[in-house]
Amino acid sequence: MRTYLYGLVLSRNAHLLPQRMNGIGGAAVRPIVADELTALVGEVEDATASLETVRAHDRVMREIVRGGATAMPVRFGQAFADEAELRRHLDGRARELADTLESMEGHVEMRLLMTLAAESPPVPEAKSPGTAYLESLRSANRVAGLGLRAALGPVVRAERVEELPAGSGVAFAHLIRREEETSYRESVAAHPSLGTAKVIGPLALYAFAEHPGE
Amino acid sequence: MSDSGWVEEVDEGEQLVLSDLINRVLDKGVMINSHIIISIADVDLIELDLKLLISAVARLQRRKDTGANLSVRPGPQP
Repeated sequence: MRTYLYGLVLSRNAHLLPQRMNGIGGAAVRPIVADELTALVGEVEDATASLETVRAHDRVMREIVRGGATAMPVRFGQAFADEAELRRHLDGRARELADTLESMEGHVEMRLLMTLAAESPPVPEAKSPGTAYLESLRSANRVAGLGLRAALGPVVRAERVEELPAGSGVAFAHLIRREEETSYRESVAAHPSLGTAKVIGPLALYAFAEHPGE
Repeated sequence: MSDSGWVEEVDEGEQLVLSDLINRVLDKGVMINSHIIISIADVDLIELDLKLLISAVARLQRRKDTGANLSVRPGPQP
C-alpha cells in the first residue's frame, strides 16, 4: 500500500472538507495537515491509470471543491511510501504552494469544451501538423468571437486555452469567483456561438495551479 | 457501460468530456514527487478512442526524455 495524494488545500480551509470521501479502490480519503497546507490522501495498492481510477481521482477533487475549499489538484499517480515521505516532498514546495492557494482563494475553474468547427478555414499543408492544428484553433476562436474571455465578460478573471488530445477539441479554462458560477453559466448560455459547448465545473485549479491567474 | 467495463457507445459530447477528463487528471496538476511511475492499463481506459491515451502517454514519454524522471510502463492485465 502507498500513500496516494489527490490534492491540496489551505489548512485554514480544512473545516470545509467533506466528512467522508472515498477515492481509488474505494479507499477512504483523509487529510494530513502539514503546517499551512493540508494534503488529501488515501491508501492505495494499485494506482494504474484506467478510466475507473482516473474518474475516482477526479471525483475526490470535485467533492473537495463542492465543499467550498479552493483546491490545488495534484497530478495523477503521486504516491509515496508513507506519510513521512509525503511530508518530506511537500516541505520543499510548501511555501510556494500555500502562496498560490492564498492568491487564488475563493476561485474555482470552469471549463468550456468545444469540438473544432468543421467549417474552419483550411490550413496550408506545408506547415507542420502542430502549427496547422494551432492555427485551426485560432480560426475557431475567431469564429467564436475574438476570444471567449472578452465575449463572456468580467466574470472570467483569467483564461487558458488548451488543445485536447488527438485533436478531439479545445478546452477553455476559466478562472472565476466561486459565487459567480451562475453568472458564468448564464453568460455561456447567452453566447450565440457556444450552444454546443460543454460546461464542466466547478473544478480545482488545473489550468491555473502552476501559473496563477493574471 | 457493458458488463466488461468497456464503453460501447459514446456520443461526441461525452467523448469531449472524457478527453478533457484524461487531459486534466493525467497531464495537469502540480507535481510533488518528480520520480513518479505511472502505469497505464494496456487495454482499458477508453475503448472509443485509444488515441487519446496514446497522446497522453506520448507527452509523458517526452517529459521523461527531457529528464523529468518519469517512466511509463504498461500496467498489469485487469
